[in-house]
Amino acid sequence: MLTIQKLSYSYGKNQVLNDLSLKVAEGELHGILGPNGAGKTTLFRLIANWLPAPAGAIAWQGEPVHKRQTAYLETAPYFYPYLKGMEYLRLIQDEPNQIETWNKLFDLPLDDLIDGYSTGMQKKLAFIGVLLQNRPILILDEPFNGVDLAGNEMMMAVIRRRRNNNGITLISSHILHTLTHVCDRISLLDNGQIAQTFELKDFATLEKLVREETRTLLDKTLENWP
Amino acid sequence: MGFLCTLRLRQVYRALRETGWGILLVLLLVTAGLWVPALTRLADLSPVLAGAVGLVFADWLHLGRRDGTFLQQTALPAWKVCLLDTGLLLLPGVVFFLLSKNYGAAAAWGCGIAAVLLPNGALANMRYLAPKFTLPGVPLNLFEWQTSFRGFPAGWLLAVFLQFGAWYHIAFLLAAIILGMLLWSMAFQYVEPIALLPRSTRALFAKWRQYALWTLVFFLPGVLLAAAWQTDYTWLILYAVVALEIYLMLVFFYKYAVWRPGLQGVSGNSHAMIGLLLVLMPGGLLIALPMAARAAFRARKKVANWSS
Repeated sequence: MLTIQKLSYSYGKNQVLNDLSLKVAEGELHGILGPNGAGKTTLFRLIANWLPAPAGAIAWQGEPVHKRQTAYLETAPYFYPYLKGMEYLRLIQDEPNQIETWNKLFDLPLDDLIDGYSTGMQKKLAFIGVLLQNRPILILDEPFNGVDLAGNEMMMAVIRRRRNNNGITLISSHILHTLTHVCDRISLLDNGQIAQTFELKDFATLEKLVREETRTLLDKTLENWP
Repeated sequence: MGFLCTLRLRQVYRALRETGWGILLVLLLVTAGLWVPALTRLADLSPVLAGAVGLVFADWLHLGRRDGTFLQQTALPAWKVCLLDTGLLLLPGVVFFLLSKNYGAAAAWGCGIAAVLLPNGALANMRYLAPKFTLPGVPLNLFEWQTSFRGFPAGWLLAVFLQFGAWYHIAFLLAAIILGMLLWSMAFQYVEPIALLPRSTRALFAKWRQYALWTLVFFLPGVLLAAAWQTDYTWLILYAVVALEIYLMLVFFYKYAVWRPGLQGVSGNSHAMIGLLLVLMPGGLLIALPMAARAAFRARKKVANWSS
């Protein structure tokens, strides 16, 4: 189990996370939902141990999380210039057979330079990269951005298969239905804390809540619009 | 590590191939008058100076790494990757000094590898991502200047101080202007968030004019001092200012010419470095100006496409 207790983080005077606590069980696909700037990426960076946690604790099976236990797909992954797809993946994990197997799902031109890939292709390449790491804590920050329909479906199917795994998967997305289609639970991040966690059976309520909030705001704002 | 070493060599080969073997050969021949004497003098460099330059060079490369987040994910330890990269970049210098039989300088230059003891690119990357403040007095859309001031404050301060030496010798102004060019080439590596991109060709050219004006304002004290005290060099001062503006035009428009969604930075600085070489060498402006104009044309076309 991943246990996060009383986690706080700030950039200067800007408090991003404030006494945040969360528990995620093995095999769980957990969605994190929140507005821009809510602190999703900061939370992920702290879990992945890329940022030092000044206050609070993050533990995996009772022990502090180690960098090598996490695989993190960033919103905008970094790629070295003048490198081919296959070379990039071999830098992450030098297992050509595994790379070929995963690539059968996404059909990327691994012998071409990454500089020529589209945004979606780069995202798929980085996704294969994090899968190759085969680590128990998989963190996916906006994994579906820029990816085509077939790619999105395949990514969702691959993520769903991780339920049979002993690890956990944390996913953030601004598109609610991608999360409700994949996750077992979804937490709402607001004001640096988990405001509410929705179980699978409550997803319809969550969708209704988001729709109603949007409609209320729209009606209020455009009240006097001709 | 053998695989990584091969990859690095392949990257260099591909970067050179993309620049074009023809243009490289022409440049090599045209600039032979500059680099042959420079290399001859460099061969006799004192070990102390070689060590200092090697360390600064390696520091600059090491702290400028932007692969911090990627290094967290590789199966290879990050420090080994940094060690190999810095070693490979210093190697040509070591070989050069060894061939020149300047063994002291070879050893001292190689000591630059100690730069890997500094925090690696991860920190540089975080520093770039984390701060969200804007600098007072600098317009928000001049994103490159904001990031450049934050990233290399010492460079800009030095450019200010050097200008004031212009009353004593023209070399101070020239050094300040060359430093300004280097800072511009680094500043225009960064790609702004989409929200800050110029949304029309009009906005693009307005932004360029803003930079052109700010550049003049920034170097005005040095130019005025030199104009007043170094009266023998009026044409040289004028040439330096024109070269600076053409170089700004080159790096500014090149960034937008190669822009595409998802691009984090303008990688492979060969264009900026060739441009710098051209504006610095006698007559090079005649090549740099069409290059800048071509970049402006390509950038204009790209902006027109994304705004339509």
